[in-house]
Amino acid sequence: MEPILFFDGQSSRRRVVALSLGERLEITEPGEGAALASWPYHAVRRVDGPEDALRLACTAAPPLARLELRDPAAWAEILRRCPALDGPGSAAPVSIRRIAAASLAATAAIIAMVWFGIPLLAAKLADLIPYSWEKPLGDAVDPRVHTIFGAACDRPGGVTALNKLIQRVQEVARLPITPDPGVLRSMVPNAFALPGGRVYVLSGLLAQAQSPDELVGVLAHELGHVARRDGLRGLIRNGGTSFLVGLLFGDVTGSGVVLMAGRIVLSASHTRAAEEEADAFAVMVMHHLGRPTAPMGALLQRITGPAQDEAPSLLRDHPLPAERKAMLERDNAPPSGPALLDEMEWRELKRICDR
Amino acid sequence: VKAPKPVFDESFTIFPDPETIMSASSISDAFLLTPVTFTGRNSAFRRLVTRGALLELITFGFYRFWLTTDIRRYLWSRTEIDGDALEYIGRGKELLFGFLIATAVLAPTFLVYFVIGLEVERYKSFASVPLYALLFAFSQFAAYRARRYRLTRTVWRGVRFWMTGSGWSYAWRSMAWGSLLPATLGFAYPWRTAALERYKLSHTRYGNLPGSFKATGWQLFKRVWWVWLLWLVPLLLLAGGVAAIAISNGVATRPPAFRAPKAPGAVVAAGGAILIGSLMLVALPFLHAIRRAREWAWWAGGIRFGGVAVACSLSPGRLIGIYWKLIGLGILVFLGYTAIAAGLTAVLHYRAPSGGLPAMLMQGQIPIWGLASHAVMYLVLLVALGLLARIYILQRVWRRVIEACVVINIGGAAEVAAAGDTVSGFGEGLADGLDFGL
Repeated sequence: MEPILFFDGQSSRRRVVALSLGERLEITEPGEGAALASWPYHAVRRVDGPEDALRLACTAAPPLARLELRDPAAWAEILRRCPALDGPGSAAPVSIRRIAAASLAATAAIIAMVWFGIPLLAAKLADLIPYSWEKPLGDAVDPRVHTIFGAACDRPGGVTALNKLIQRVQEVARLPITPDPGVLRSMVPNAFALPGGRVYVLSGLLAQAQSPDELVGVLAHELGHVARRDGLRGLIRNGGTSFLVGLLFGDVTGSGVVLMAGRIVLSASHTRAAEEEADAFAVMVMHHLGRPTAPMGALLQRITGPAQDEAPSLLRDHPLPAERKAMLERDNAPPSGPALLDEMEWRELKRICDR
Repeated sequence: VKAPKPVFDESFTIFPDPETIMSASSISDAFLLTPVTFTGRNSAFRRLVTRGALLELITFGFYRFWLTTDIRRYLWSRTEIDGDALEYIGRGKELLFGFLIATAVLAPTFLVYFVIGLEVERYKSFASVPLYALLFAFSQFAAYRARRYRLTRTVWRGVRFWMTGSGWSYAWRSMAWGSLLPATLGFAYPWRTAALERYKLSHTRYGNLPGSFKATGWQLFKRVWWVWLLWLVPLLLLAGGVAAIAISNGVATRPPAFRAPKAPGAVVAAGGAILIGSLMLVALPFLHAIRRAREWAWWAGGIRFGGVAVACSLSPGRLIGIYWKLIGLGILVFLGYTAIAAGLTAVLHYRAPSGGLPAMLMQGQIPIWGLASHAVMYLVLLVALGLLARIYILQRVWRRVIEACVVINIGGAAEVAAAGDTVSGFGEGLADGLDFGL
């Protein structure tokens, strides 16, 4: 018969013991009078052990006291007598259903937080943070922009014209921070705004613009982002979301990456709303300047090329060019104010990146 | 007492020092070798981790706390020292709570980290890179605290292991030694490992029996220096070859009058270097097995608890098969993934309205089912690779290392009084939150 082993949880001494199964489970050392331990059956629990042994603990004994038996007969007898072997404090497996349900609830809460909570928080926080705090943010990003695109174009005539243009916009937009425009060399027809009022137009976009009205619409759109503080909001939103997603899900299964993809879909829908508002801001500015809005639509159309059969997509972050063009044409008014730049200035602006 | 005759090949094993021998209750005890055995079945572990991986998928990763716990319970309870199995008494719930607390601590930390990074970036682009060092220090702190959690959940013969010492003190040591690594091309590694193991083990206790680490950096260096040198050769050859080709191509595009006459020779030499470098990459699994085997044996041989010592004779051949199986299966899994992903992409391409996939990507109009199926494919790939890693890098290697070890003078642990108490899973949570694969 395999020996029955007992460890009292006070010392590492290994004792070969005998069991007497009476009122309680009595553990005695052969040759000794008093019992080493006496365990009530209902307090005996099964814990982890090798596959061929039954290892027991007792909730009424020192927590690490262990009884280990390999003998099948004794094993069966214990199973018969102890009613709560797999009760609380045992090594019984946890209910998968409970873990799964709790995970599902937690995941739903996080998704709700990411979808509704964080954008709301970002908007509220962005309103609370003074504009002056945005400046260092922009300053931090700016050097990276220049490592990618190189220095801003600096032909003096063009710079003067660009500053004049942005000043006209600022006169009606009245942003609390002075916008600081620049043109960067890139084939990509695009423009973007940094937090803190820096607005960059890429030379690819400038090359496609045919009149100051077209360009000023884009500039006003970007200033709309500055006014809405979209850069700051996006930063808070992305930071918060990445944090939640990254920390809570870990990357054990790599689920972080997939959730990241989900985040892009999510953020696209928020961006779409922001773009529409920036367009509305541009329309308002153009109206105050007394300039038509249709040329901006024409420029957008020129950049995106002929209309494609586009189905609405979750991933698209800008409103459809056709929709935007229609909106800009609907709000169009014949010019009532003076031209923003004269022929000479416009030509200088177009040549801003010439060396 | 005369030094004992070596039982194992000396290059693999470190012997009990005279101190250990003297502290044994009797001479025969001192030379008594007690086997350490692993009784687990591979199939049981395979089932455990496969089921766990599927549950991880279903629970969005939350099951990882319970899976980690189950893996440890399996490994511990099948590891027998002198016939008595270890017991892991940690629970998944503790890991979950530790993780939640760690999240609460990490959130403001990351915010401060972000703000500091922003301030630094203002002065110079990419100047915030040294801040990663801080995160590394934090992860070392977490590693120490996580080890403490695991130890206090490890029980043998009704007495637990535990640990004193400070996580910050450990992190500081790890950083200081780590800063020597690049300067010495990695040759400081043995001394770093020895110093860190010394710190960890001299703060480890089994009941009231203090642990210590007696192996030295020099001993490890003697065992692995040539492996590391051979490892560097293919990397340096590859880097050199690529650089040479780049340079000679730069020369070749110049007008003929400026072309250096020995350019073709340089290209041939560089091509040769790349070829040799690539061929030697095949040798890396072997080199890795040798290094790992020698390092495990060195490490185990340095462990002491009071007068109890460990000796280990792990031959590299025991690990090479495991690594090749892992590589082969990994390649198979990856090929399967590539084939299915390519098929999926092709379907997307041909179902695209006009202009095919590129146009669709440009407009950001991928249909949701395409996105979802790619995401699922990717998850399945990661789960499969994770599964292979757990089976081959964790359980199979564990088995080999355990089977290669013996305990010397087990009598020194015959009657150790229990001491120490449990600590929370905070450290494990931190380590989970800071897991950058370091």
